[in-house]
Amino acid sequence: MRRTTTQRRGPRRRTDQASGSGSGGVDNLSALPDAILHHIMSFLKAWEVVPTCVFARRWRHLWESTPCVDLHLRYMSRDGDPPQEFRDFVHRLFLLHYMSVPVDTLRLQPSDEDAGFNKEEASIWIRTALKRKARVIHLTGHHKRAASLDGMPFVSCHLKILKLSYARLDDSVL
Amino acid sequence: MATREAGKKMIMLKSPDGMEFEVEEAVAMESQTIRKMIEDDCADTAILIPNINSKILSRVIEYCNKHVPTTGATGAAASDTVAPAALAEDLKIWDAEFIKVNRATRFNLIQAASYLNIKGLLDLTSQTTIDTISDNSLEEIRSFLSTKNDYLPEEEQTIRRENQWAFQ
Repeated sequence: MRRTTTQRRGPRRRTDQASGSGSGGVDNLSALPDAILHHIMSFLKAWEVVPTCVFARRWRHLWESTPCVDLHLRYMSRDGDPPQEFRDFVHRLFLLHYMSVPVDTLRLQPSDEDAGFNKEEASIWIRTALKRKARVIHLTGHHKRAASLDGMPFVSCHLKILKLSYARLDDSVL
Repeated sequence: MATREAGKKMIMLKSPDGMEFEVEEAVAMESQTIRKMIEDDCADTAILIPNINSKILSRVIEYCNKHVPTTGATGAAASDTVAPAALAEDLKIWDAEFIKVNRATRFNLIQAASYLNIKGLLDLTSQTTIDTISDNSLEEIRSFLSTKNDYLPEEEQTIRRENQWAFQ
């Protein structure tokens, strides 16, 4: 079935090459560079990113260097269900993520009781992201239950954007 | 592309298949890559855009034309009379129509947006790709990505086992 699809696209690729477009004829997402695939993956939740490792060899280790860790649970969303053992999932995610690759962006909903993790764990994940040179941290609490960030250490020379929604701060932050 | 009224600085963009596109400098500068070239004075006459054929380049220019901030002489009237929220809504509807393209064109647009560093277009194409593949089975996703499953069956099982924590 897949072979048939490839044949159908064959002429297009040749046409593009004939017109001198070089790599302009790519119709295979897997052929794109890591940076672009990572950008596309940044639109997925962390628990949707990891299973991409089974797509093909090209994808096996891609998630381990993805610069965006999105742990943001949206209510009433069509995102795939988060893992049952959420805190276990996040711990493994950070353990297996390449240490040398910065976590550029962390999106998190702190102290979400439904998700099965608490404020202390959220704090550890934020500190981990900061140690991995996070540039963007985006925290969203619940509109009925603001996230408490008392004493959260946001000190970093890499952090450029700190976006807080429904969050409560005290003067011990920073 | 038609030449705009006098007074606006125009930039010539050339695709590798020999097509030339004359665009307003402000439109071309929606691309951070081109903006850098212009700011570094590397864009006196024409800029050759490698790797992006004329069909894709014309779509990219169409996108930039629509998304260039409407603060100039031509855009002033529009932004004076239309509320920002309505403009944003209009752009969203326009984007949704713009991205109704086949898979190959979308992949080429992703590449072009990445090379030319046009964040809005890269986000639009990436999000659309994700929207298209979500809710599909693994086989459907592989087929959509034109990704051949090059794992041996036992190898795939091992990888699933190793990453069992992520499949629960």
